[in-house]
Amino acid sequence: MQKSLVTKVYRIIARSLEFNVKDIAPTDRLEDISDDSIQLFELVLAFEKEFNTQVKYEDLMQIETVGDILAYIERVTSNSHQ
Amino acid sequence: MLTIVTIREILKASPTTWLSAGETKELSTKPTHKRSTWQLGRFAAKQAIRRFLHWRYQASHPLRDIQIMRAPGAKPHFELAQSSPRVPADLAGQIDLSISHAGNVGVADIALIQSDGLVGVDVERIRHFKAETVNSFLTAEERELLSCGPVEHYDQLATLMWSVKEAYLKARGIGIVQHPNTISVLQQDQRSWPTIVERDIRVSASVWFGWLPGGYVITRVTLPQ
Repeated sequence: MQKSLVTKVYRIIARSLEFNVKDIAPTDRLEDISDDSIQLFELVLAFEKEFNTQVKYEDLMQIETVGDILAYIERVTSNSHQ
Repeated sequence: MLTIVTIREILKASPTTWLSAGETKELSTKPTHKRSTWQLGRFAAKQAIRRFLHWRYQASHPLRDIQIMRAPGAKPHFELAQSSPRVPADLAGQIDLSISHAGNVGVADIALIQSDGLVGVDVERIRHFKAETVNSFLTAEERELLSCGPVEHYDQLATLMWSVKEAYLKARGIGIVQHPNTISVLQQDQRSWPTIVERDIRVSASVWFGWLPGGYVITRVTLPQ
């Protein structure tokens, strides 16, 4: 995965969930690094805005970790480039 | 069996006295700053189940023997470490359990599926939402309802609407995998309980909410089977 994309994703997570970028790891579970569901909802909004996409909420069931977010964003951004 | 616990109750006892070995191990995997809130939810759930077992079967189980488990994407459930002659062996499958925690509060509720249906609970800290957030999760009907009410209650009511939506989705066992703006939480007047409308159809649900000191709202939604 492109390093620039990883950096961008980490920055969005850090900003939305009030974390330090350097403290985020792909294995981090979203339920452990977020305060509540509203914060996670705002994270989704932030990704939609940054990547100009509309998240399919049924896809969120598969997203539990930061690594899952990275994989999802990579898929979404590669699909939009096709 | 809605059960509410606060941080004070958690701090009174070491977690190893009421968590099973497996749960203690799970706790150790949580980030340090999340351990208290995780314990709040677990403690509330165990208390709710213990109260239920005592009320219905006159059975007494230490909290440590009531193990709370949750597979990814699934609703939580429980197992008793030791079987009891008074408690049906398949009880866990007959019970719906919901847990929530926020800040210094943990909430849990259980329902007998056959008679009570499915249950979802949620606790939220009342907050001021960013305009982008609230405009995204509220429906047009909800925004109109809020605009008619007192401005000083806006944050409270917006948080309540979010919380009811989440409790409803948790009762259905799907969590926030459906956009919240597909669900409207409407209230005819201040004396009536909120109703839930999903895609223009009123949902057959029982909604309860309460305000807690410290700026929290607790909501409970039950869905008949």
